[in-house]
Amino acid sequence: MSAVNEQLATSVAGITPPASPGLDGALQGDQAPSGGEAGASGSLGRIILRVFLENRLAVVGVGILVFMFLFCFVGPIFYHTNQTYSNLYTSAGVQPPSAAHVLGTDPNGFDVLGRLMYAGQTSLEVGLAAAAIATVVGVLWGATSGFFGGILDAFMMRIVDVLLSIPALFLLIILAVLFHPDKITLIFILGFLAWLTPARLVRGETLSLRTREYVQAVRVMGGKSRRMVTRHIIPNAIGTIVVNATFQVADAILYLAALGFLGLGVQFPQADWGQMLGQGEPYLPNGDWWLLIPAGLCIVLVVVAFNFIGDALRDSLEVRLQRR
Amino acid sequence: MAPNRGLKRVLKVAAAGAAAALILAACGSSTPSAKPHPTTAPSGKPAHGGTAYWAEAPQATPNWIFPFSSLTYFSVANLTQFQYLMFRPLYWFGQVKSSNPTVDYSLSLALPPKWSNGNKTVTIAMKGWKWSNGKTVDAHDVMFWMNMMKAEKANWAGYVAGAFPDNVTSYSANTKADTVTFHLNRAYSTNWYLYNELSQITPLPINWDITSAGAAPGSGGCSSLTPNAKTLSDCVKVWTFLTDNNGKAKNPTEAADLTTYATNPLWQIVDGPWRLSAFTTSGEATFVPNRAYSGPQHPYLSKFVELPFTADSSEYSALASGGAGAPNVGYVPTQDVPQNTGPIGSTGPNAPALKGSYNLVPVYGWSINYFPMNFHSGGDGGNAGPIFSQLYFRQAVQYLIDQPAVIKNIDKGYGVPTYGPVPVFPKNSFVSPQESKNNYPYSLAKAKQLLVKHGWTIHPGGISVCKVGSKCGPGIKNGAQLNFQEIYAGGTTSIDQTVAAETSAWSKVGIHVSLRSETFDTVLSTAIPCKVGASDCTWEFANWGGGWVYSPDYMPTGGEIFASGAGSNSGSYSSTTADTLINETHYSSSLKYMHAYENFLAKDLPVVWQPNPANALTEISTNLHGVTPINALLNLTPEYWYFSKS
Repeated sequence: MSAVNEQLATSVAGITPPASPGLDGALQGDQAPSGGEAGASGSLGRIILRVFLENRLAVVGVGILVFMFLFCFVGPIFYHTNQTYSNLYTSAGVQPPSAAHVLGTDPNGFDVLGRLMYAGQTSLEVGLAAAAIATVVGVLWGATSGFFGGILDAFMMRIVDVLLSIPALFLLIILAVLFHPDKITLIFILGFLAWLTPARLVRGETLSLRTREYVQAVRVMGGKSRRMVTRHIIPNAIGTIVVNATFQVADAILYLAALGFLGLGVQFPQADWGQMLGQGEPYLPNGDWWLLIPAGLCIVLVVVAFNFIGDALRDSLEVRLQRR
Repeated sequence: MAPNRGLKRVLKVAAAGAAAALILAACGSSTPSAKPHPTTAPSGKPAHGGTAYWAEAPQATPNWIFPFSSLTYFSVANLTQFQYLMFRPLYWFGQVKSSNPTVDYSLSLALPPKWSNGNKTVTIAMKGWKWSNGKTVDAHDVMFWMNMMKAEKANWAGYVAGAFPDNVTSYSANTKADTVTFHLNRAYSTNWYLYNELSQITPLPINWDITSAGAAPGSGGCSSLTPNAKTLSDCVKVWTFLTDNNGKAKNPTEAADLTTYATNPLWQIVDGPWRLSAFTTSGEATFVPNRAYSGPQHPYLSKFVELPFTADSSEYSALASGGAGAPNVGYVPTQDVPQNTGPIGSTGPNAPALKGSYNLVPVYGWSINYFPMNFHSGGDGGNAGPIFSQLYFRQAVQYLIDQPAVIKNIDKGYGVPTYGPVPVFPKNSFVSPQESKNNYPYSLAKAKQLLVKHGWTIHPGGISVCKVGSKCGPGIKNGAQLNFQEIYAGGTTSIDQTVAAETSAWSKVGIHVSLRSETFDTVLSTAIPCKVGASDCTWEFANWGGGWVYSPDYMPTGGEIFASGAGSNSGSYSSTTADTLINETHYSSSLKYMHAYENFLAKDLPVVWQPNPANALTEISTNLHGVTPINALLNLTPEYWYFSKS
């Protein structure tokens, strides 16, 4: 679904980059990855956290996300603005920044700072929920396909191939036009498209994992397929899944922004950052920067933050796998 | 005859319907501007030659050259801004020296019609102007059109059952072929018949009366001076040859083959001041003068080019950047001009980026703006239709449209109010004193009072509920909610803003309207008359943002949009009183009937009246003259344009 995911796909295919010198200590004395039924490990968690925190960009990413979540969900509690009823009967819409409106007002007369918070809620909620749906569906689909193999695998993966062959934005636009999206519909529309990449990644992982000794051992001991998939295959592919999920969130936010920009996102008076960009675009020749730059900045910051976190998680979880 | 959307006006259904007779106002000074349009006055000595570039409206390119078209191609982009340059209608409407939407006989192909037999017979004498191939534009050409219209009226977008040509019992031409006589089924208002019926005729050259390429002119049999049943069947064959039957017939495809518009010899036979010299499928059209034009004004320019644009922002960028290929006549998006604080029709300051190189000229079309409610809607749990049928509800909705505020704060001062079915601007005698004023000025209190009085419990910001069904109205159940959906043509800033402002105002009395943005075409195709109980009859409010432009139904008698059962009566409004008043405007020329009709509809609210923004904020290059005044019916007349000698 994205360049980042392509990079991830390369990584999970086995061409893993060499561990950085900083990881040597953590790996010292460890044995080769052993696999088995997933279980909690306090020391392992600390190692993952430490490696994660060593990545400064990841820390910045977490900081940005924390800030944005507070900004969007807690901010409106302290910064009260009307974001529902246009006041165009009493004043012109677009007003430059002033003491009353720190970031000015938009074409409907809404306070832009408040609008950023309000729109951000939609962007983050839709992004996270769509990624969650995509991850759950994709993981189950990919794991099932890879575990059982054969005709079922071929059939399930051809479905994925067919859907992946359709340009995502094109498909999104058609779905958005057909279903006149509200927030919930958008979540399902974006999730419907985004599950394809995790399905393919997890299927690749599963093909490798299903031949491992611990999986064979479960099979010999009479373990059911469901147990093998849910307790052994999926947990051992968790690194791939989690890392991909972070990129899914970023992708979903970007696609939502694209739909919003084209006027196919949520409907007035709801808002998302892409819709704000679309509304502001006609005012570009007038130099009304406050209609474009803040919304654009929010999108960029959140997407970059998720990508930073995804990169760092990949490194951290790789440590976990190597330790095993 | 046309739902319109600002620059992107689309003529939807054609006129004919009403009958009445009024003369368009003296309209002596129909543009009461605070200051005169900057380029109105001729400047300098006209230079012959030069190329003028004109910007087409975004995504509104010409795609139909045959001046006889179905609804699909019945647009301003095809008719008044493309075909009329080459193929002139029998009667020309709109003045060259003013923005009056009145007939201009000097630019017409025929002399004023003569009435006889108690206004049941009309005789039209041709002027004898020439086609570009030297043949005379005569009665054959008018008969060709009439025969074609009789045979293919289902494919003429202007057709309304019972009106033209159904109200013509017979028609014939004299042997000299310089006069055509129509016998009508009853006496009609002479003005209405001219403005709304005869206005539809465009003489067609005999060379098009063929059924195969290269056949002898007239061999198709459709231009017969004594039409009979065979003539009509011949016309079907000719029509099939000249069109592609909306894609059903593959060959021939004369009018549908855009690649041959400039090379097909058929389309080179013109009686207008221009002929097409180049055409691209993307919509760029290049015209050169027709040296054989018989009209009063031959083009000064050596070339006139229509340029396509995909968005108004790209067109504005082309204007602002200047350069050799920049349009000499374009338009500026509303959000890019400073506020105009002058009176209606005035011109305010130009956009800073264009000042000095262009002059701003707002254009107000001969149109009204409104949006329909579906009186037959099964939406809102079956309550929508019965609720919309209640005058008090429509009044409450109308009271919450603050027209002056929308014009000021959204249209930047470039808009005119709509208070009824007759345009209040440009000034005209059709509009009555009562319709000239707002019968429903903005009043939250009155809207609330109306709903409360009729049994509704108001929930400001929420959804009001009917508590006393007997008071709410017939068919409205206890517990019914004022909860509706409005589809609207999104994507244009001013329309987005207007619907946002309106829904916000309605919500103050608990009329909850959720918005759904659609394309202009989708809104038009959704907002069609439908039957009560039909599965697809659930739309409630539909706002395409442009209302109706009266062209070529130039007299605003409104039969085609407000009469019971009319094809463009989107919301299925029906009133026996309104029908009677409309018919009276068709049959009599007395102004009192027109005023009675419009006064009734202004108050009865067949639709919701809303402000009518300027059709275009036109930008005219400072070195190009003769462009203004711009025709209120949006007809292009670049033959009057010129660059001045320095």
